[in-house]
Amino acid sequence: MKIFILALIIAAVIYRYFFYYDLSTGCLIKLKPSIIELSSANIKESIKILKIAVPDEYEKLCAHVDLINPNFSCGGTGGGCYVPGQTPQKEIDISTTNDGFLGWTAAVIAHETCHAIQHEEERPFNEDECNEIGNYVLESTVVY
Amino acid sequence: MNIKTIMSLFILPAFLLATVWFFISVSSYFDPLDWCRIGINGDIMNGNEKTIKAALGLLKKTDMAAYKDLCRWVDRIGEKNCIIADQLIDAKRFQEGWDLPGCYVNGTKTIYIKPTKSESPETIEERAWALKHYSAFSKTFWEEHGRQ
Repeated sequence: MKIFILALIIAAVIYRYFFYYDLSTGCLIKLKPSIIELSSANIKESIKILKIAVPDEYEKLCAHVDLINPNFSCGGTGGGCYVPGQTPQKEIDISTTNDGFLGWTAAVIAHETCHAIQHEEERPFNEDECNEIGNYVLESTVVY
Repeated sequence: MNIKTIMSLFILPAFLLATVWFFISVSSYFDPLDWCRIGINGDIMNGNEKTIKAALGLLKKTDMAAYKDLCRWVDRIGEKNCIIADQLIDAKRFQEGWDLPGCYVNGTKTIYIKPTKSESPETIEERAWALKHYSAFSKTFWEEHGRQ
């Protein structure tokens, strides 16, 4: 019984920090360990924002990304990065902070997903197209 | 009653409660009477968590209905400038967002208010207004979308 409870706790911690899973759509995205902040809470919450508020971008994310690296990358602090062929997996880097503005993190995720799609469709990288998508996410999610 | 009984009945529980209270109060606003707990992510460099808590207290005094809505529909207040547009696409709108008193992000229970170090009564009043205004967006969003 004790071993079962311990295994359950370990599984819950692993899920909490290293996986995003949406039962209703079967969307599964793995999250690499966040070395500095020890949590990917901001990224997971931003994925949920896309699901609820920008479903078209959420669909694209689930279809074209299966791994997110939350550590510092070529996008710098608060930014993101996509390096084609980085790993066999469909990976994007999101280096926003845990207390970062959630709307911005959602926009960066959509922006990097756009680059992943460009790569998959063998199109040249186009920053303008991805900036427009990030902007669309901000316009769809932030109210004032 | 001997000293051991007094310790176990009063002093230890009181010490435990005080410790829990301290940790909750450091990073959040906690009002046990109205069952209201809201996390606060303050801006250490440019902001002031004290005036957020004072604004919550003011709202409770002046508009109980708005205060109760805020407790129900908001679970975190972030002290941050808002980003409503990508700077590379629309620099004017980006600046407009940066200067806003606050904002709400759909699909969350987080509201943001512009950081300020000021502790003036006007600042507290402005913050109370912002908390009421932006929590109404959260209420509207979740009433339309239901629990998710």
